[in-house]
Formats: sequence, structure tokens, C-alpha cells
Amino acid sequence: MSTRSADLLIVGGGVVGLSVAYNCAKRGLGKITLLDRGRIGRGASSRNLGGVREQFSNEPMIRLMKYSIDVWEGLSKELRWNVLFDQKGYLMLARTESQAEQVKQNVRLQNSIGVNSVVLERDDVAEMLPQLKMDGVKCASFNKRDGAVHHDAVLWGLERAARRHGVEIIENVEATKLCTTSGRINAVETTAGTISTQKVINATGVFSRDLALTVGIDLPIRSFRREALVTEAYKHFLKPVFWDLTLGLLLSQTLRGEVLCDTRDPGNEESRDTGVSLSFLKKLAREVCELFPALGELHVLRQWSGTYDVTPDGSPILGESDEVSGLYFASGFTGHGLMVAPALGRLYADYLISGKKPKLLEPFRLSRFAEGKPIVEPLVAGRKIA
Amino acid sequence: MFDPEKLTISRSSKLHRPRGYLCGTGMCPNCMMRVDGVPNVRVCTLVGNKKPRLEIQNHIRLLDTFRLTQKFSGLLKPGFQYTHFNDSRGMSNLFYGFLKRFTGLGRVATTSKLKRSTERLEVDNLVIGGGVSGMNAALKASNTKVSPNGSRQGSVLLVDTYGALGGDIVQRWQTTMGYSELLRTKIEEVQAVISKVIANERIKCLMNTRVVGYYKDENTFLAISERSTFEIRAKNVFVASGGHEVLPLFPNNDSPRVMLSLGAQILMNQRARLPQSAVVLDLNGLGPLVAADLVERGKMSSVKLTRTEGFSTEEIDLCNQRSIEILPKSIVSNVKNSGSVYIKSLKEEDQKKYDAGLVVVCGRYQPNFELALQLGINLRLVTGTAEVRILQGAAGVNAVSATAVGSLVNGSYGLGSSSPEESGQIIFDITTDEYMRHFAKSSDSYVCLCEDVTAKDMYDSIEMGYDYVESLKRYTGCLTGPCQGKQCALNTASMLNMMNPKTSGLLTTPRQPLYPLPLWSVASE
Ligand SMILES: Cc1cc2nc3c(=O)[nH]c(=O)nc-3n(C[C@H](O)[C@H](O)[C@H](O)COP(=O)(O)OP(=O)(O)OC[C@H]3O[C@@H](n4cnc5c(N)ncnc54)[C@H](O)[C@@H]3O)c2cc1C
Repeated sequence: MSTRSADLLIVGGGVVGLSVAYNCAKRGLGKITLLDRGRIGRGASSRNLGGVREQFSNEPMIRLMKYSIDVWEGLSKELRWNVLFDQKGYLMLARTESQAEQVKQNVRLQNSIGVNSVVLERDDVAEMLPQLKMDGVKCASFNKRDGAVHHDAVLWGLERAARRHGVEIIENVEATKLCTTSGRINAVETTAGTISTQKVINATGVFSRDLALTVGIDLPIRSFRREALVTEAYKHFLKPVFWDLTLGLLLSQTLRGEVLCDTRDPGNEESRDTGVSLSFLKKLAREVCELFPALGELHVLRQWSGTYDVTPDGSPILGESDEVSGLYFASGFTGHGLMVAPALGRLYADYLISGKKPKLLEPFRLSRFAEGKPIVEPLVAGRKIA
Repeated sequence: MFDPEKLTISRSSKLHRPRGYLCGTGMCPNCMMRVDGVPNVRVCTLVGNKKPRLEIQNHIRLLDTFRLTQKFSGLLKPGFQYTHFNDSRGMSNLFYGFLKRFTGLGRVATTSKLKRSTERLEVDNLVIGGGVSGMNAALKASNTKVSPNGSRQGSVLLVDTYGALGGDIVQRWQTTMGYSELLRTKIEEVQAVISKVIANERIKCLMNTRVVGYYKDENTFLAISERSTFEIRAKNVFVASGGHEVLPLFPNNDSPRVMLSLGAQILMNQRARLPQSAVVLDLNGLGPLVAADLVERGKMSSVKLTRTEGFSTEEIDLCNQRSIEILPKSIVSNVKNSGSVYIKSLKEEDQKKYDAGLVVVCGRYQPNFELALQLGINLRLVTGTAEVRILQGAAGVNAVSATAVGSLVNGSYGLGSSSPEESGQIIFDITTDEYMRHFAKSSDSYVCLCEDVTAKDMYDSIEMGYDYVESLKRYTGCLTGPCQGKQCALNTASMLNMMNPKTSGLLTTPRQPLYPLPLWSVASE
């Protein structure tokens, strides 16, 4: 790769980078190049559980996800590729009084924004989850527009569509430095030469802090290891995505019949390691046996882990940098990058073409931390957000 | 439990193809059944004399009676789920509902098992594998003084999945039989080593136990047996996990009539009744002895033996003495569930039809490389005849088994290396074999039994650009099923290598656990 140029350079070939690349190319934004230091999708995007939901507890995220699900619903058709978005519903289980209160409050907020989530009483919960041990169950929130996708299908569909629309995809090349002239991006140095460009999207997930630091911006993003496991395939028995708010245990059965499981990381330490642990396996096994005794017979097939790009308030950092113009952030997803990616693709295309920041993105600006307006989101699978 | 009149004991996950007893050692998905209400149990590894209630899984009468999924298998190619039913939400939803109705193997249990406690063991030396390599490693380790002051001799724990020491050779030939002078001496050698291990009081053996993975976070090896869960910590570890046979490619290689040779010999050990006739397909050199065993112990009246190469005079004598018909320089070109086996000479075009109750495959050995990779031992991929090279591994981590089987009649049988100082790498021979050359594009030769991926599916997917292991595995599903690559890693690697010799990073590190384990087995406090 010699010196080249691009109208838009996207660094990071995860689901977010691909979605932005595809949407911008489709809208005719000029020459678009997407770089990844490895192969496409080998970061968090191929290591997640595919959960998609509107059930959040803050307004900006509920609005963003409401829009994203609209896009998800038409995405298979748009990409001519079935992304296996199964709207099987998402259930959050409350087993303490305070959780029950929280769940009801969330549902009220969601309903006020036009999300039709409901509170399920004990009987409804028992009916929906016949294997669940009902001791101590208070209630649950449920939303039938939520569900799960197959992450690899999403990646392949986006990659194909991006290529069809002329996006240049370069694998195994790393962006090493952002270059500026008088406060504007003018080039990016890579391991294979310099690419000149006026606009860069930093969609490098847990590495986005490193890249931003090359122009002196310190993104408040930390990396945490996040483990998961999958079982052998069984005949379908689990309808919705299940999430227990007390333990953080999450179960979701795929269309192939395997059960994806995860829970709060017992270590919960800052790390970029993607190894797996025995302590996680044992913790998860105990929790499944406690809540669903009969599911103790499920066979664990494979453990793996990925990383979460975590912000202090649990919400992503989006939009153009105030300090360096031409530099756009798209990271800090704290475990929700896949589900928002379709919305982000559309919104960034609007943004870059019109030059006007879409309303839905506005609250997620980096300066919210300095302004004291964090978007606190406690509903983060696998982690406790302070 | 084996019944020659009822060879079909399970149905494959996607195409509902009939499947039967194949490997006998828990290295394939074919014998997964519902046992006393518990789904996905590999019945070949059940121990004890109780007669459990067995139910076939994934049998859907409507589909299976008319073999619908098999007839329409052309529509169910890898990736079919992405390229269809994407025009409208309604169609997609119907499709997802349909998938949920038909995918998955067993129905989940309705009862629960009690949690059980975990035993924690601390040892100086852990030896994984009780074959000759493992036993020799254990013997040497037990004589090595341990630090800090070198005053004490080290304790050794040897773990093996089998119920007896000695590895595959002992499972195959539990008593010394008169087929071959060489076999007899080899078995005597092995038995001498076994006696030494048993006599050595510093060596403890944990049999019928599987090491399912190494976990860095607790510096622990997790091991599971029918009755207990073990967490083992060791200062030194010797990976002597050997290898296992895998199926070659040929049309209908997944038929319930096809069995791996070790599986067949284990059945004979258990005195199971076998069909009257067999074709033995030899890719690992053990063919003549296995054929002889089928005549002698299996009481078969008609046994034929085929190999892509020729036979030595000793081998010919051995077969002649037992009226075993040999078919040199030929390949099995099809197997029908009805019992017709087609064999083709490599020189001529025409194929001949034979009747055989079983096709017994002496398959190539795939090294049990998973644990070694987790421990950071090099995997050296070779093409051509595997030579054993020893390299230094990380401190305290040793690989002592080189998987090599050869002809026990001609004297080239490798019995592993024997020195614990010889730490190094595991050799993975990915040479394209004759069967792969012939059937690389065959749409009814299965590479992956778990997800019903054919050679053609793999070939086409690689051509479409899914041309490195990680993407190929995600796209086709090979390496991701319940056998976790134990039947398909060799064929996958060798096919990738054949089509694109530049593929690097050939195999990804397999994730824990290396053998599926029930959640309750690790749920204790
Ligand atoms: C176990 C687990 C479960 C999850 N479950 C869900 C879920 O249910 N629902 C959901 O919505 N989300 C979930 N997530 C989160 C989701 O996977 C991520 O938020 C999402 O994939 C982020 O996508 P991304 O494109 O921002 O980042 P990534 O996929 O991590 O992509 C970043 C890419 O940037 C590349 N890169 C980094 N630095 C450079 C550089 N300097 N130059 C070039 N390339 C570079 C990397 O190689 C990588 O490919 C989960 C995550 C994990 C780990």
C-alpha cells in the first residue's frame, strides 16, 4: 500500500465500522476506505451474544435503540442477506423489591417514549420460562420487539454490501497515528504507508483510546474482559433472551439450538486478554443450576471471551471531536455496540453528508462528562456500572 | 448395547441422516442419545452394567420416513440461512419458526442431578495420557528429584480416559494374539511398562478420567470422570495424549455401516455380536491385523481388505491364512446403507460391488493436539511422512507423544517417544490422501458429521473466500459441533492446505472444555 487518499477513512472493521462504511458508501459519500489491523470482525463483533433490545433505563439510549430496531427489522431485505434477527423478546427478571421497583419504573419510561415493553407478573414469567425455579421471583419486564441476531451473519451481510457499494476494505493494516494540521485531520499513518484524508471515524473498540491519544485526546474508555460460553444444541425450549438482574446471568438459545450463556465476570479487572477462566465456568454453572435446576444437564461446548469498551456512565461516545475536526468517535459501547450499529450507520451517513449532527446522537457527545451530564445506564449485561 | 440388526442409533443434526456407532471412544457425535431422560449422552462411553432407557434423538417421523431433508439437501447448503427468506419480516419470521421447530438435538431434561463435590489434587508431575509415551514419562519423572533442595522424589499423577493403562494398543488387543510375531513382542513390551508403572508407588493413576482443559486463571487442569470432578495443579506436565482415528472422505462415509477400527475392536473386547462380513479400509497400516482380528475374534466369515497402496509378503501371508481377500491399489468409492460397498481400482475406471455388513476404517490418526496448543506447545504441520523432531517447550511443559501408527506387521509402528526430557512439538500430518484427492468435490462425502458439512460444501466455501480456518468454521459450522473438531480437523486442515498451500495459522487454539461436560459437574461451591 503506497500513499493514498480517501474521502472517508474508517479505522476498525467491526460491526460499527462496517455499518458506517456501508451506509456512507450507499449514500454516495465518495471514496471510502476501511482498515483493520487484523481480519474483518475479529474484535468484539464476532464474540458477542447477539442481544438486541430497547429496554434501557435512560431516554437517549431508548430512543437510539428504538430507531435501531426499526432499521434491524428491514436490514435483511436491505442487505439481501438474512441476518437472522429473531424478535423472540427479551425478559429481565427481578427477584428483589428494589429491582421490581426499578423494572416498573423503566417500563414506565420506555412506554412514555413509545416502546411497548410490559411488566410480567409471576404467573406470566412461569409460563414463559417453564424451567425457571420460581422461588423469590417478583416480576419481570418484557419487550417483544427485542430479540437476537446472529453476529457473523450481520458482519458478512454488511461486508458484502459495503464491497458492492465500492468500499475499499484493507485487512491486516493498522492505523498507528492520526495526523492533523491546524486542528484538522489531514492524514492517518498506517503500518503500510500514509493515507491522506479529511475525515476519520475511530471505530476501533477497546483500542479507540490508544488511537485518540495520538492526537492528545484521552477518551474515558477502559477495556474489560467479558466471558461467555455456548452449549451443545438442544430442541428449542427457551423462548426469549433471559437476563436475571440479580446475578447478571444471561441465556439465549440460538436458531441452531445452542444456548449462549454469560454472567458477570468474577474477576472484573481491566484487561485486553481474551483467554477463558475456570472461575467463570464454575460461577456460571452454579447460577444456572440454582435458577434452572434441570438445565444443569446442558453440556458446555465451548468457552470464549471478548472485550467490552467501557465508559464511566455505560453509554457510548459518539460524534465529532471538539478539539480535532474531522475526527469522529464511535466507541465506548459498553456491551451494546452490535445492537446500535445499524442505527449508527444511518445516522453517521446523514451526519457526514449534511454536516448537521442528528438529534439522536447529540446526547452522546464526549463533552457530556465535563458538563456533568452523564447518561447513566445501569442495565449492562455482565458488569455493574457504578 | 450394539445391535447388528439395528445399526441406526441417532439422526444427524441438519439432514437427519441415519448414524450409528462409529468411534467407540467419545470422539464423534454419532452415538448421542437420550439416556434415562438425559439428552445428548454419548452412549459409547457409558460404564456399568445397568440397562438404561435409550431413546433416539432428533428423529422426526414426518421428515425421516420420506428422507425429506436428505432429498432436499441441495437447498440446505452452508449459508442457505443467510441467502433465503430475507425479503420480508413475515417470511423471515416464518423461517425462524421453522428452524426452531427442526433444529437442535435432544429435548432438555426435566429432572436435575445433584451437585457433586470437586476433588483438588496437587502433584509434582502430571502426565496426561497412559499410553507408552505417557507411562515412560511417568516412570522417568518419578525418578527425578524435585527442587528446591532435590532431596525428594517427585509424585506423579497419570490420567487417562481409558479404564486400563497402555493406550490404544491395549484397547485394540487386550490379549496377546498370534497374528504377528511383532505384535506379540510389542504388546509384551507395553505390558512390561505397565507392570513397572503399577509397581511404582510414586505413580498414581486416575483412570476413566478425561482432562478437559487447562485453565490459566487458576493454573489448573480440569478433569472429569463419571463419578468425580478433579482440579489438578502440577509443577510439571507431560502431554502424551496421543491421537485418534478419523474418517476419510468417500461417498456415504457417514453410513451406520461404517465404523472406525478401534471402535470395532472395542466392541469385540466387549464381546458384542458383529455382522458376518466386512470390508476393511486401511489408511494407517493396521488393516491386515484388524482384518485378522475380525476373522478370529469377530467370527466374520467374509473379510476384504483394501488399501491405496500395495501389501508386503508378510501381510499377504497373514491374510491368506485367514481367507481375507486383499484389494491393493484401490479405494472404497461408495457405501450404501443396504450393505453394498463399491470398490474401485485406482488404475481402472470400473468399480466392483461387494456385500458387506460393515466397513471398518483404519483411519489416519489425528493428534489430540488441543491441550498442547492451550499450553503453548508448538504444533508442527507437515506434509509427507511425519518425522519426529524434538524442540524445547516452555518450562515445565512437555509434549512427549508423537502420534505415529504404522504397520505392525512390517515393523514401522511408532510407539511414541519415551523421554520426559524430550519436550517439544506435536506433529500434525496434513498430507492430502488419496481419498481427499478423489472426493474433495463430492456432495455426499462428509467432512463434518456434527453439522453435516460435505466435502463439496467445504470446497465451495473455500472458493467463495472463506479460506482461512476461522472464517470457514463460522461459515460452514465445521469444527463447531459437539465433537469439537475431533473428526474434522484433519480433513479441514488438509483440504485448506490442498486448495491454498499458503494458508497460515492453520488451526486456532481450541477453547475449553475440550470435551463437552454437563454444567452440574462443575457447579459445586
Ligand atoms: C461476551 C460479549 C457479549 C456481548 N453481547 C452483546 C450483545 O448481546 N448485544 C450487543 O449489542 N453487543 C454485545 N457485545 C458488545 C459488542 O460485541 C460490541 O459492542 C461491538 O462488537 C463493538 O463493535 P465495534 O465495531 O465497535 O468494535 P470491534 O468489533 O471490537 O472492532 C474494532 C476493530 O478495530 C480494529 N482495530 C483496533 N485498533 C486498530 C487500529 N489501530 N488500526 C486498525 N484497526 C484497528 C480491531 O482489529 C477490531 O476489528 C458483547 C461483547 C462481548 C465481548
